[in-house]
Amino acid sequence: MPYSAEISRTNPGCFVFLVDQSGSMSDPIGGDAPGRKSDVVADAINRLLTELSIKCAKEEGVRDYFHVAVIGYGHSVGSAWAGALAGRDLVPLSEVADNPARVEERAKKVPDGAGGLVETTTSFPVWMTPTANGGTPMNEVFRYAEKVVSGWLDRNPGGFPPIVLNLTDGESTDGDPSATAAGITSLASADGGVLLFNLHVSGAGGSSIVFPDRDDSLPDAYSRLLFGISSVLPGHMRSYAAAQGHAVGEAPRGFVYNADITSVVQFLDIGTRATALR
Amino acid sequence: MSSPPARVTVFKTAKAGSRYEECEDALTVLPRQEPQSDVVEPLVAVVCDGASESMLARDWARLLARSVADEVLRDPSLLADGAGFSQATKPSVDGWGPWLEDYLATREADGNPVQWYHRDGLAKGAFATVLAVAAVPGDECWHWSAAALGDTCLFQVRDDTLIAAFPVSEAAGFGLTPDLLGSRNHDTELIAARAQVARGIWQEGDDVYLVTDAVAAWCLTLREANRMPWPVLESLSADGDAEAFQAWVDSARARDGMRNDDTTLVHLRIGG
Repeated sequence: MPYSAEISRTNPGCFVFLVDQSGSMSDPIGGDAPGRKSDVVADAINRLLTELSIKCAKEEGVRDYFHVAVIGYGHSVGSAWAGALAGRDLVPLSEVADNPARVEERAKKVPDGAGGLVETTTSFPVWMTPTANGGTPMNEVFRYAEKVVSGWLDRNPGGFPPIVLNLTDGESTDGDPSATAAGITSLASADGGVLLFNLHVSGAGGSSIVFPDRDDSLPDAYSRLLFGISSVLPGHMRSYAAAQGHAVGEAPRGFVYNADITSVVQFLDIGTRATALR
Repeated sequence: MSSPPARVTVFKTAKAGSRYEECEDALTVLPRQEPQSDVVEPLVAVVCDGASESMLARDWARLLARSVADEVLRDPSLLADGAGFSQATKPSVDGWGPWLEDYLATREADGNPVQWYHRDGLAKGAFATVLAVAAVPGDECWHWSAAALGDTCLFQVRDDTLIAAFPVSEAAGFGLTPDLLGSRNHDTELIAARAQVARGIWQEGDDVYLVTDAVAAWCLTLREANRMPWPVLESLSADGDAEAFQAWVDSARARDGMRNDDTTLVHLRIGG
């Protein structure tokens, strides 16, 4: 059965985040909560990396169950890591955890055990900072991602295949990305084809379309294009999405259109839900 | 009339991909015996399976197995009901705080303090299953009682027939979220309510297996497919050979669907 390989230190998994850093990402995100799209996306990725590090942490350190790349595309295409990891593509999770660009202390409220809440501080590591400048060279970043993924598969041919998550707010400015997307999804490990998931960040408000299995409810050609290049969610992700309350059909795609803050978080949570760690 | 002796054999191995020292199963058998010796006095066996998602699961499982075994050896009636079992686990939970303080202080002194990614896990505490068994020799038999939280199992086999399975009796009963005892859980009433208890008689010729969930699920899956797991376990024990046990575990994981997980098997052969 595909997408069932055990994730372990000897057979790690791989996430490649592609982050739109075009000028329009400085515009506000749609929906009720304020915030620039670039801030929302950077925050969501920083939170995800925090949770992944905590989840993989044992006494001796963070175990390298995953390797992670964060690639920005806008004025230029390349690594979006900040701090000590700057310039690197795939980084083992232990090095991600040990090298945030900075650690912010943020206030949070936790239960006090007597029915109330008490304010405490929590560490909020930051690995990527929001950037918004330039166009949306999606073809160029897909070609970049294909090289990263191909190199990974040369070194790790048998494990759970890489997952590429593309977060963008607009149309590609360097042409139709369908062929370069196919360049990514044509790659495979022994456990299955590389997965490409796409999230379109809302600027306009209106409702999000989350993990659809058909494109007939999508509003325009661009959203249908992104749907078309998004992989179907493997079974365990589909089950997890359903368990989180999403109404998923038989073959939902890893695709969210018109995402607000909540659906950005959900997209990342479900799209990185690997089979249970052992 | 004297009771038949009980011969105790113990095997433990880590999941594939982990070192033996990283194994998060723990067990204590009291009184301490030489391997494969015959026991004719009251004995206690406690097996704990640390939850791998939690920090310090291995240390918690070890502390729990030792502490619960000490309590139950002192007073086997603690396994009669949930309240007694909760009492048996209380010293472990009470002891976790001081143990953790020592651990953190040692790390600081060694220049290896905990990092930001450890804090959440340390605050939540460690988690493990617990299976505690007490057995007292009687007239040509042993009287046993057991209490459990989670899916570490006791199987009693007579003439290749499973006559007791506790606390899980079907392969479908194993999931990714068993009940667990948390190192910060001072809710003694909740522990009492969730604990399961059982009792019975072991006769000469019985084989009793205490197994963590990967082996337990494998046994029940085979049994439900009308394939007999018991002769395999019995023959492993007869040799007491750790390498043969490892080879069997590797084979069962590769070819027989046994889940890759820390694996513990305690075999009590009644009659030696």
